[in-house]
Amino acid sequence: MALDIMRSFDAPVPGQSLTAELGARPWQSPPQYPTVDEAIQYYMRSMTTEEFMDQIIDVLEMGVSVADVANVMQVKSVMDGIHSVDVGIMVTPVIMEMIMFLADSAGIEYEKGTENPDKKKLSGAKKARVLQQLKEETEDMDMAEEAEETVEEIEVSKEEPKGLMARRS
Amino acid sequence: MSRQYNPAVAAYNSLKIDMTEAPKPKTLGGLLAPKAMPKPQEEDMSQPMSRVAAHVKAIRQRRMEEDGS
Repeated sequence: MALDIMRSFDAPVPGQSLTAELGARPWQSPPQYPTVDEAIQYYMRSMTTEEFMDQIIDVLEMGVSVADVANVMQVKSVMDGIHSVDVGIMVTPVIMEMIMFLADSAGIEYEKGTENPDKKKLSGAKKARVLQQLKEETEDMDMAEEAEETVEEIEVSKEEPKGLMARRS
Repeated sequence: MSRQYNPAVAAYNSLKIDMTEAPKPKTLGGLLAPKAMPKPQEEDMSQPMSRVAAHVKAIRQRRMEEDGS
């Protein structure tokens, strides 16, 4: 609760984005690399430096997925005015492939992040169907058990009395 | 926990890259051999997404070579 209050103080004031002059922000001016090819060249240059390789290996070893790193990289470049949003999204597969190439070259384990974790989950309808099936099966089992018990009871009752005072037929 | 929507994943998964090598065309040496062989349909490289796919394919090929060696 206290943390939420602290966070709300850190948040921007409503309308704060409109306080800067139009064109003062990097993403409001024309991008440095307007085409996909130029943006790819920019990433290839920046990703093949020694410093970047060390950093990316550290990040991947921390368990951050390749897709998340690539997305953060392209969003940062958009905010810095290096390329536009659409170019950034189109370039992302190249960034991802390059990161995976670097990780493979370094011989480290990494998470791609392209798999949908929700895909393995059962939908609500499927869950309900499975639950219904389970219920029916358990009911059948209960009925079978009850039947077995009654059969046993009948068998027990059929046993002939063996005491001294028992009637002889 | 469900992951937030990531456009990088959507862009990566939407790329259609065929990693199988195209068979080499047979060269016919006879006099009656056709002069111009029909070319297989190639990707339209004027489209930026095709160029991106070509880049990804080249890097992936290199990555697979590294893995294989």
